[in-house]
Amino acid sequence: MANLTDIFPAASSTNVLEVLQGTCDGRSITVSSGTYTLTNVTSVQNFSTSYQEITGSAITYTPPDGTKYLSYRFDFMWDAENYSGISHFKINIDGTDIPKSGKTYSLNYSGSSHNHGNWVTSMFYVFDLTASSDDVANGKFANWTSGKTIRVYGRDYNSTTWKAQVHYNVYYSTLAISQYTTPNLTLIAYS
Amino acid sequence: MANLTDIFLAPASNNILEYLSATADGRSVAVGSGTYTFQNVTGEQCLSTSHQVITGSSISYVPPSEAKYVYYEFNCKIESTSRGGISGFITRFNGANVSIVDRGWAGNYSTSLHHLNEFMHTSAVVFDLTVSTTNIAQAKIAPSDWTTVKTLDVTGREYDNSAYQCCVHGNHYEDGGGASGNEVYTKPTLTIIAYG
Repeated sequence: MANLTDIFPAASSTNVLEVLQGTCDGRSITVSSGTYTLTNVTSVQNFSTSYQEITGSAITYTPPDGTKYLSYRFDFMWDAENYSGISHFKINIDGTDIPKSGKTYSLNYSGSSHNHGNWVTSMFYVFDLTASSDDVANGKFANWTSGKTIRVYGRDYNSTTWKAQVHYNVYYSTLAISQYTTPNLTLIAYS
Repeated sequence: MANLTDIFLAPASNNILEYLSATADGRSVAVGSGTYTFQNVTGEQCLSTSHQVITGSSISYVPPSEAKYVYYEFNCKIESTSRGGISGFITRFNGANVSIVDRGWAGNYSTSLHHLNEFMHTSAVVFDLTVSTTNIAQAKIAPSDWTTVKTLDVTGREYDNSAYQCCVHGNHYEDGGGASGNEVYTKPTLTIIAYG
């Protein structure tokens, strides 16, 4: 027979149904809605002028019964590879972009040798599961009962001067830190 | 008489065992696993070329025995004080590097204009306690190796001692001028979440 704490891990109820959170190293995480395996991110990812999936950001997820809102957040290291590193990011669900999730990241610069920008940033969106009909481009769903794949796409501003890369610690050697850094992924289902 | 849903908002229990979060102002916070006193950060901390513990990041913590994952997140203000302020941060478990989440930080710069990069730094990791063998560098901790308090903290250093430097917690500017009074520094925040 199961222990009571297997059924009710927390001491009291809240409006948080479950939290799925992990460092993207290939681990599998079991929560009430299922078992999910995160991507194993082990290297830098360079962009182009076409949108591509950011490694570590993709997850195929089914919210638990009773979910009204689902928060998705992806934290990753961003680097201005060239000039100010103008780059564009957006969240996509099951092949449909969510335009209002889109963000452009860049830093100022004064010359080609000043592209030092390197910091942790995030992409996030809260999906609304209380809608009466699906409006996928605005992240609104009426009946999300099977797995949908959420991911982040990224691209450079152009192919020559304003470029970015992710998961990379540029000055790792001098700073005595690792060359690559692993992102974190968090999903929170609320009732 | 209250409805059951007034008391239990969610239809089922969630997987959060405890949520410990505070501004690093010396407060003590009691949760299921114990009472924890956060550091009191009282000023800016300028880095050197050797890794040093970032004030406010340190906590000695033991998770509840049922914990499968423990999230550690440290958020601090950071500013470049020379050029782009290139710096690096290491999250540690009882003094050992969790190298999978080492984080660099730097802003772009113009040769003569410093102090223009003022934003946040976050060091965060989710420790995996479902493993049978501890590998701290990969954030994997066997439950048997975390039954007493272990110190979690973040160390940081700058690129060199002349050209690329930075400080944490400080504000250089405030309300259209130089920072002064209460705005000279800001206290960081530390969050730990234990999941079952």
